[in-house]
Amino acid sequence: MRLRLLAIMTALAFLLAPMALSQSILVWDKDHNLTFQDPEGGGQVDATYGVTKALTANGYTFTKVTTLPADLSPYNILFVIMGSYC
Amino acid sequence: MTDYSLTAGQQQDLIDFLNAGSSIYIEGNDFGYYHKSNPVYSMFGATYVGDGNATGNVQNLAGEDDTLMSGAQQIAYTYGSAYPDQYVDYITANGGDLIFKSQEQRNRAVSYAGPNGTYRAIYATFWFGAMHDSGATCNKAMIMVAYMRYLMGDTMVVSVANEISVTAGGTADLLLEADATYAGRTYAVLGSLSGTTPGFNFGSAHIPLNMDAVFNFIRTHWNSAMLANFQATLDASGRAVATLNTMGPLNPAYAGKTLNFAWIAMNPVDYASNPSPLKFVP
Repeated sequence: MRLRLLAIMTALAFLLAPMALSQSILVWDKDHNLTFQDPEGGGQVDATYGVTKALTANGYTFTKVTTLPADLSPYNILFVIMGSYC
Repeated sequence: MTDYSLTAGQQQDLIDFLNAGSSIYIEGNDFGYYHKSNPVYSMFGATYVGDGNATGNVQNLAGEDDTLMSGAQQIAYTYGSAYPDQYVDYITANGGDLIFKSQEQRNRAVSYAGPNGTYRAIYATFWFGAMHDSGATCNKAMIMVAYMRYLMGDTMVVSVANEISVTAGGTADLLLEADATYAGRTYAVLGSLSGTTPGFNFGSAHIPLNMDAVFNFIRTHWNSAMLANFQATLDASGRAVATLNTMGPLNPAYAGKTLNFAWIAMNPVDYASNPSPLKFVP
Protein backbone atom coordinates (compact mmCIF):
# COMPACT_ATOMS: atom_id res chain seq x y z
CA MET A 1 0.00 0.00 0.00
CA ARG A 2 2.78 2.39 0.95
CA LEU A 3 4.66 1.53 -2.21
CA ARG A 4 1.57 2.20 -4.33
CA LEU A 5 1.06 5.57 -2.60
CA LEU A 6 4.70 6.42 -3.13
CA ALA A 7 4.42 5.52 -6.81
CA ILE A 8 1.32 7.68 -7.24
CA MET A 9 2.97 10.63 -5.45
CA THR A 10 6.10 10.28 -7.54
CA ALA A 11 4.05 10.21 -10.73
CA LEU A 12 2.12 13.29 -9.60
CA ALA A 13 5.35 15.08 -8.77
CA PHE A 14 6.64 14.44 -12.30
CA LEU A 15 3.36 15.61 -13.79
CA LEU A 16 3.01 18.73 -11.66
CA ALA A 17 6.63 19.88 -11.52
CA PRO A 18 6.77 21.26 -15.08
CA MET A 19 3.46 23.07 -14.55
CA ALA A 20 4.71 24.79 -11.42
CA LEU A 21 8.06 25.60 -12.99
CA SER A 22 6.49 27.15 -16.06
CA GLN A 23 5.51 30.24 -14.07
CA SER A 24 7.93 30.23 -11.21
CA ILE A 25 8.47 33.87 -10.33
CA LEU A 26 10.99 35.39 -7.93
CA VAL A 27 10.69 39.03 -6.85
CA TRP A 28 13.96 40.40 -5.50
CA ASP A 29 13.20 43.36 -3.27
CA LYS A 30 16.39 45.36 -3.57
CA ASP A 31 14.91 48.80 -3.00
CA HIS A 32 16.57 49.15 0.44
CA ASN A 33 13.27 50.16 2.03
CA LEU A 34 12.66 53.42 0.21
CA THR A 35 8.97 54.28 0.37
CA PHE A 36 6.64 56.67 -1.43
CA GLN A 37 2.94 57.50 -1.56
CA ASP A 38 1.05 54.84 -3.50
CA PRO A 39 -0.87 56.63 -6.29
CA GLU A 40 -3.79 54.25 -5.76
CA GLY A 41 -4.26 55.15 -2.11
CA GLY A 42 -2.31 52.36 -0.50
CA GLY A 43 -0.40 54.70 1.80
CA GLN A 44 3.37 54.64 2.08
CA VAL A 45 4.64 51.67 0.10
CA ASP A 46 7.94 50.41 -1.25
CA ALA A 47 8.92 49.89 -4.87
CA THR A 48 7.82 46.26 -4.95
CA TYR A 49 4.25 47.02 -3.90
CA GLY A 50 2.89 47.95 -7.33
CA VAL A 51 4.65 45.04 -9.04
CA THR A 52 3.45 42.41 -6.61
CA LYS A 53 -0.07 43.85 -6.56
CA ALA A 54 -0.27 43.67 -10.37
CA LEU A 55 1.10 40.11 -10.38
CA THR A 56 -1.46 39.06 -7.80
CA ALA A 57 -4.27 40.81 -9.67
CA ASN A 58 -3.47 38.65 -12.68
CA GLY A 59 -3.39 35.44 -10.71
CA TYR A 60 0.37 34.95 -10.57
CA THR A 61 2.00 33.64 -7.44
CA PHE A 62 5.57 34.53 -6.58
CA THR A 63 8.29 34.27 -4.00
CA LYS A 64 9.62 37.56 -2.61
CA VAL A 65 13.09 37.86 -1.12
CA THR A 66 15.41 40.64 0.00
CA THR A 67 18.57 38.64 -0.63
CA LEU A 68 19.27 37.07 -4.01
CA PRO A 69 19.34 33.28 -3.51
CA ALA A 70 22.53 31.47 -4.45
CA ASP A 71 20.49 29.05 -6.55
CA LEU A 72 18.14 30.67 -9.06
CA SER A 73 17.44 27.46 -10.94
CA PRO A 74 13.97 26.92 -9.40
CA TYR A 75 12.78 30.13 -11.08
CA ASN A 76 12.30 31.14 -14.67
CA ILE A 77 11.21 34.76 -14.26
CA LEU A 78 13.06 37.18 -11.98
CA PHE A 79 11.81 40.64 -11.04
CA VAL A 80 14.67 42.84 -9.84
CA ILE A 81 13.24 45.89 -8.09
CA MET A 82 16.11 48.23 -7.34
CA GLY A 83 14.46 51.52 -6.43
CA SER A 84 16.90 54.41 -6.51
CA TYR A 85 20.65 54.67 -6.11
CA CYS A 86 21.51 51.28 -7.57
CA MET B 1 24.15 59.43 -2.20
CA THR B 2 24.73 55.87 -1.09
CA ASP B 3 25.62 53.37 -3.78
CA TYR B 4 23.48 50.24 -3.46
CA SER B 5 24.53 48.85 -6.82
CA LEU B 6 24.82 45.17 -7.72
CA THR B 7 27.87 43.29 -6.54
CA ALA B 8 30.04 41.54 -9.10
CA GLY B 9 28.62 38.21 -7.95
CA GLN B 10 25.02 39.41 -8.29
CA GLN B 11 25.74 40.76 -11.76
CA GLN B 12 27.13 37.39 -12.82
CA ASP B 13 24.10 35.62 -11.35
CA LEU B 14 21.80 37.74 -13.52
CA ILE B 15 23.93 37.12 -16.62
CA ASP B 16 23.92 33.38 -15.98
CA PHE B 17 20.17 33.41 -15.37
CA LEU B 18 19.51 35.05 -18.73
CA ASN B 19 22.01 32.90 -20.57
CA ALA B 20 20.14 29.87 -19.24
CA GLY B 21 17.11 31.09 -21.21
CA SER B 22 15.22 32.60 -18.30
CA SER B 23 13.64 36.06 -18.11
CA ILE B 24 14.27 39.20 -16.08
CA TYR B 25 12.29 42.36 -15.46
CA ILE B 26 14.58 44.93 -13.89
CA GLU B 27 13.78 48.45 -12.76
CA GLY B 28 15.89 51.10 -11.12
CA ASN B 29 16.44 54.81 -11.51
CA ASP B 30 20.20 54.34 -11.53
CA PHE B 31 20.78 50.86 -12.93
CA GLY B 32 22.33 52.50 -15.99
CA TYR B 33 24.21 55.16 -14.08
CA TYR B 34 26.01 52.57 -11.96
CA HIS B 35 26.25 49.67 -14.38
CA LYS B 36 26.54 51.16 -17.87
CA SER B 37 30.06 49.79 -18.27
CA ASN B 38 29.38 46.38 -16.75
CA PRO B 39 28.65 43.28 -18.87
CA VAL B 40 25.34 42.81 -17.06
CA TYR B 41 24.01 46.06 -18.55
CA SER B 42 24.58 44.85 -22.10
CA MET B 43 22.18 41.96 -21.43
CA PHE B 44 19.20 44.34 -21.46
CA GLY B 45 19.35 45.76 -24.99
CA ALA B 46 19.88 49.39 -24.04
CA THR B 47 22.54 52.08 -23.91
CA TYR B 48 22.69 54.51 -21.03
CA VAL B 49 22.32 58.14 -22.11
CA GLY B 50 21.98 60.24 -18.95
CA ASP B 51 21.28 60.32 -15.23
CA GLY B 52 18.25 62.60 -15.24
CA ASN B 53 17.54 65.48 -12.88
CA ALA B 54 17.68 65.44 -9.10
CA THR B 55 13.88 65.56 -9.34
CA GLY B 56 11.24 66.51 -11.91
CA ASN B 57 11.91 63.87 -14.52
CA VAL B 58 8.83 61.86 -15.46
CA GLN B 59 5.40 63.46 -15.53
CA ASN B 60 3.79 60.88 -17.73
CA LEU B 61 4.68 57.91 -19.90
CA ALA B 62 3.47 56.81 -23.32
CA GLY B 63 3.83 53.43 -24.95
CA GLU B 64 5.77 53.19 -28.21
CA ASP B 65 3.94 52.07 -31.34
CA ASP B 66 4.56 48.55 -32.63
CA THR B 67 5.76 47.33 -29.25
CA LEU B 68 4.38 45.61 -26.18
CA MET B 69 3.13 48.96 -24.99
CA SER B 70 1.31 50.12 -28.11
CA GLY B 71 -1.84 51.85 -26.96
CA ALA B 72 -0.57 52.84 -23.53
CA GLN B 73 -1.04 56.60 -23.73
CA GLN B 74 -0.47 59.33 -21.15
CA ILE B 75 0.05 57.27 -18.04
CA ALA B 76 0.58 59.73 -15.19
CA TYR B 77 3.67 59.19 -13.03
CA THR B 78 4.47 60.24 -9.48
CA TYR B 79 6.21 63.42 -10.63
CA GLY B 80 8.56 65.28 -8.33
CA SER B 81 8.32 62.63 -5.65
CA ALA B 82 11.05 61.11 -3.57
CA TYR B 83 12.10 58.58 -4.51
CA PRO B 84 10.54 57.37 -7.75
CA ASP B 85 11.30 60.57 -9.65
CA GLN B 86 14.89 61.14 -8.54
CA TYR B 87 17.67 60.86 -11.10
CA VAL B 88 15.61 58.77 -13.49
CA ASP B 89 18.05 57.50 -16.12
CA TYR B 90 17.22 57.87 -19.78
CA ILE B 91 18.37 55.41 -22.39
CA THR B 92 18.38 54.47 -26.03
CA ALA B 93 18.03 51.11 -27.71
CA ASN B 94 20.97 48.79 -28.26
CA GLY B 95 19.34 45.76 -29.78
CA GLY B 96 16.13 46.06 -27.79
CA ASP B 97 12.81 47.76 -28.54
CA LEU B 98 12.07 51.02 -26.75
CA ILE B 99 8.65 50.56 -25.17
CA PHE B 100 8.08 53.67 -23.02
CA LYS B 101 9.05 57.31 -23.36
CA SER B 102 8.33 60.18 -21.02
CA GLN B 103 6.74 63.53 -21.82
CA GLU B 104 9.96 65.14 -23.07
CA GLN B 105 10.56 62.23 -25.48
CA ARG B 106 13.25 60.61 -23.37
CA ASN B 107 13.27 56.82 -23.54
CA ARG B 108 12.62 55.10 -20.24
CA ALA B 109 12.13 51.39 -20.90
CA VAL B 110 13.14 48.68 -23.33
CA SER B 111 12.24 45.07 -24.09
CA TYR B 112 14.87 42.71 -25.41
CA ALA B 113 14.83 39.12 -26.64
CA GLY B 114 18.58 38.62 -26.39
CA PRO B 115 21.02 38.53 -29.28
CA ASN B 116 19.27 35.61 -31.00
CA GLY B 117 15.94 35.42 -29.23
CA THR B 118 17.53 33.30 -26.54
CA TYR B 119 15.95 35.01 -23.53
CA ARG B 120 13.49 37.78 -22.63
CA ALA B 121 14.20 40.94 -20.63
CA ILE B 122 12.43 44.18 -19.79
CA TYR B 123 14.38 47.09 -18.32
CA ALA B 124 12.66 50.19 -16.96
CA THR B 125 14.38 53.25 -15.52
CA PHE B 126 11.21 54.20 -13.63
CA TRP B 127 9.24 52.51 -10.87
CA PHE B 128 6.34 50.36 -12.06
CA GLY B 129 4.40 51.12 -8.89
CA ALA B 130 4.72 54.88 -9.36
CA MET B 131 2.61 54.82 -12.51
CA HIS B 132 -0.97 55.90 -11.90
CA ASP B 133 -3.82 53.68 -13.02
CA SER B 134 -5.82 55.34 -15.78
CA GLY B 135 -9.14 53.67 -15.20
CA ALA B 136 -10.16 50.70 -17.29
CA THR B 137 -8.34 51.85 -20.41
CA CYS B 138 -4.82 51.46 -19.09
CA ASN B 139 -3.74 50.37 -15.67
CA LYS B 140 -0.85 48.57 -14.04
CA ALA B 141 -2.62 45.22 -14.06
CA MET B 142 -3.05 45.45 -17.84
CA ILE B 143 0.57 46.47 -18.31
CA MET B 144 1.64 43.50 -16.22
CA VAL B 145 -0.32 41.17 -18.52
CA ALA B 146 1.73 42.35 -21.49
CA TYR B 147 4.97 42.22 -19.48
CA MET B 148 4.28 38.68 -18.32
CA ARG B 149 3.30 37.37 -21.74
CA TYR B 150 6.57 38.70 -23.06
CA LEU B 151 8.64 37.38 -20.15
CA MET B 152 6.99 33.97 -20.39
CA GLY B 153 8.35 33.70 -23.89
CA ASP B 154 5.07 33.88 -25.75
CA THR B 155 5.59 34.22 -29.48
CA MET B 156 2.24 35.93 -29.93
CA VAL B 157 1.63 38.90 -27.68
CA VAL B 158 -1.30 41.29 -27.96
CA SER B 159 0.01 44.69 -26.89
CA VAL B 160 -1.13 46.42 -23.72
CA ALA B 161 -4.24 47.70 -25.47
CA ASN B 162 -5.68 44.22 -25.06
CA GLU B 163 -9.23 45.48 -24.84
CA ILE B 164 -11.28 47.25 -27.49
CA SER B 165 -14.58 48.99 -26.85
CA VAL B 166 -17.28 47.87 -29.27
CA THR B 167 -18.84 51.32 -28.93
CA ALA B 168 -15.73 53.28 -29.80
CA GLY B 169 -13.79 50.74 -31.84
CA GLY B 170 -10.02 50.88 -31.93
CA THR B 171 -6.77 49.23 -32.87
CA ALA B 172 -4.49 46.64 -31.32
CA ASP B 173 -0.98 45.65 -32.27
CA LEU B 174 -0.13 41.94 -32.35
CA LEU B 175 3.53 41.17 -31.77
CA LEU B 176 4.95 38.09 -33.44
CA GLU B 177 8.09 37.22 -31.51
CA ALA B 178 9.86 34.17 -32.89
CA ASP B 179 13.64 33.98 -33.14
CA ALA B 180 16.21 34.29 -35.88
CA THR B 181 15.65 30.72 -37.04
CA TYR B 182 12.34 31.98 -38.47
CA ALA B 183 13.87 34.96 -40.27
CA GLY B 184 12.31 35.48 -43.69
CA ARG B 185 9.53 32.95 -43.16
CA THR B 186 6.06 33.77 -44.38
CA TYR B 187 3.53 33.92 -41.60
CA ALA B 188 -0.23 34.31 -41.28
CA VAL B 189 -2.25 35.53 -38.30
CA LEU B 190 -5.44 33.66 -37.46
CA GLY B 191 -8.18 34.42 -34.96
CA SER B 192 -11.24 32.90 -33.33
CA LEU B 193 -14.13 33.99 -31.15
CA SER B 194 -14.81 30.37 -30.19
CA GLY B 195 -11.95 29.60 -27.87
CA THR B 196 -8.59 27.90 -28.02
CA THR B 197 -9.33 24.25 -27.27
CA PRO B 198 -9.37 21.73 -28.76
CA GLY B 199 -7.99 23.67 -31.74
CA PHE B 200 -6.93 21.63 -34.76
CA ASN B 201 -3.91 20.20 -36.53
CA PHE B 202 -2.68 21.66 -39.79
CA GLY B 203 0.56 20.70 -41.50
CA SER B 204 2.81 19.61 -38.68
CA ALA B 205 1.47 22.26 -36.30
CA HIS B 206 -1.31 22.28 -33.76
CA ILE B 207 -3.26 25.53 -34.10
CA PRO B 208 -4.76 26.58 -30.76
CA LEU B 209 -7.92 28.11 -32.20
CA ASN B 210 -11.37 26.74 -32.92
CA MET B 211 -12.61 27.45 -36.43
CA ASP B 212 -15.66 29.69 -36.65
CA ALA B 213 -17.08 32.50 -38.82
CA VAL B 214 -14.54 35.01 -37.51
CA PHE B 215 -11.72 32.58 -38.25
CA ASN B 216 -12.93 32.31 -41.84
CA PHE B 217 -13.38 36.08 -42.12
CA ILE B 218 -9.82 36.72 -40.96
CA ARG B 219 -8.19 34.17 -43.25
CA THR B 220 -10.03 35.60 -46.25
CA HIS B 221 -9.23 39.26 -45.39
CA TRP B 222 -5.52 39.13 -44.59
CA ASN B 223 -3.85 42.49 -45.23
CA SER B 224 -7.11 44.37 -45.68
CA ALA B 225 -7.44 47.75 -43.94
CA MET B 226 -8.82 45.95 -40.90
CA LEU B 227 -6.09 43.32 -40.76
CA ALA B 228 -2.84 45.02 -41.69
CA ASN B 229 0.23 42.83 -41.99
CA PHE B 230 -1.74 39.70 -41.13
CA GLN B 231 0.15 37.81 -43.80
CA ALA B 232 3.72 38.86 -44.51
CA THR B 233 7.33 37.92 -43.82
CA LEU B 234 9.14 37.77 -40.49
CA ASP B 235 12.13 40.10 -40.29
CA ALA B 236 15.77 39.14 -39.78
CA SER B 237 15.13 38.60 -36.08
CA GLY B 238 12.07 36.45 -36.73
CA ARG B 239 9.65 39.15 -35.69
CA ALA B 240 6.74 41.17 -37.09
CA VAL B 241 3.86 43.38 -36.00
CA ALA B 242 0.32 42.95 -37.31
CA THR B 243 -2.44 45.44 -36.53
CA LEU B 244 -6.15 44.94 -36.05
CA ASN B 245 -8.23 48.06 -36.79
CA THR B 246 -11.97 47.72 -36.21
CA MET B 247 -12.56 50.69 -38.55
CA GLY B 248 -15.12 52.12 -36.16
CA PRO B 249 -17.73 50.71 -33.79
CA LEU B 250 -18.49 47.00 -33.72
CA ASN B 251 -21.72 45.09 -33.30
CA PRO B 252 -22.65 45.49 -29.59
CA ALA B 253 -23.20 41.72 -29.48
CA TYR B 254 -19.39 41.32 -29.42
CA ALA B 255 -19.17 42.99 -25.99
CA GLY B 256 -17.90 40.52 -23.43
CA LYS B 257 -16.41 38.19 -26.04
CA THR B 258 -12.73 37.34 -26.42
CA LEU B 259 -10.99 37.17 -29.78
CA ASN B 260 -7.95 34.92 -29.59
CA PHE B 261 -5.12 35.31 -32.07
CA ALA B 262 -2.32 32.97 -33.06
CA TRP B 263 0.09 32.93 -35.96
CA ILE B 264 1.51 30.17 -38.10
CA ALA B 265 4.72 29.84 -40.08
CA MET B 266 3.83 28.89 -43.64
CA ASN B 267 5.34 27.01 -46.58
CA PRO B 268 5.33 24.55 -44.91
CA VAL B 269 3.07 25.06 -41.89
CA ASP B 270 5.40 23.75 -39.22
CA TYR B 271 4.84 26.13 -36.33
CA ALA B 272 1.90 27.71 -34.53
CA SER B 273 2.23 30.27 -31.75
CA ASN B 274 0.47 30.35 -28.43
CA PRO B 275 -2.99 31.97 -28.46
CA SER B 276 -3.24 35.52 -27.13
CA PRO B 277 -6.56 37.14 -26.19
CA LEU B 278 -8.12 40.48 -27.08
CA LYS B 279 -11.25 41.34 -25.13
CA PHE B 280 -14.21 43.28 -26.47
CA VAL B 281 -15.78 45.51 -23.85
CA PRO B 282 -18.91 47.73 -23.99
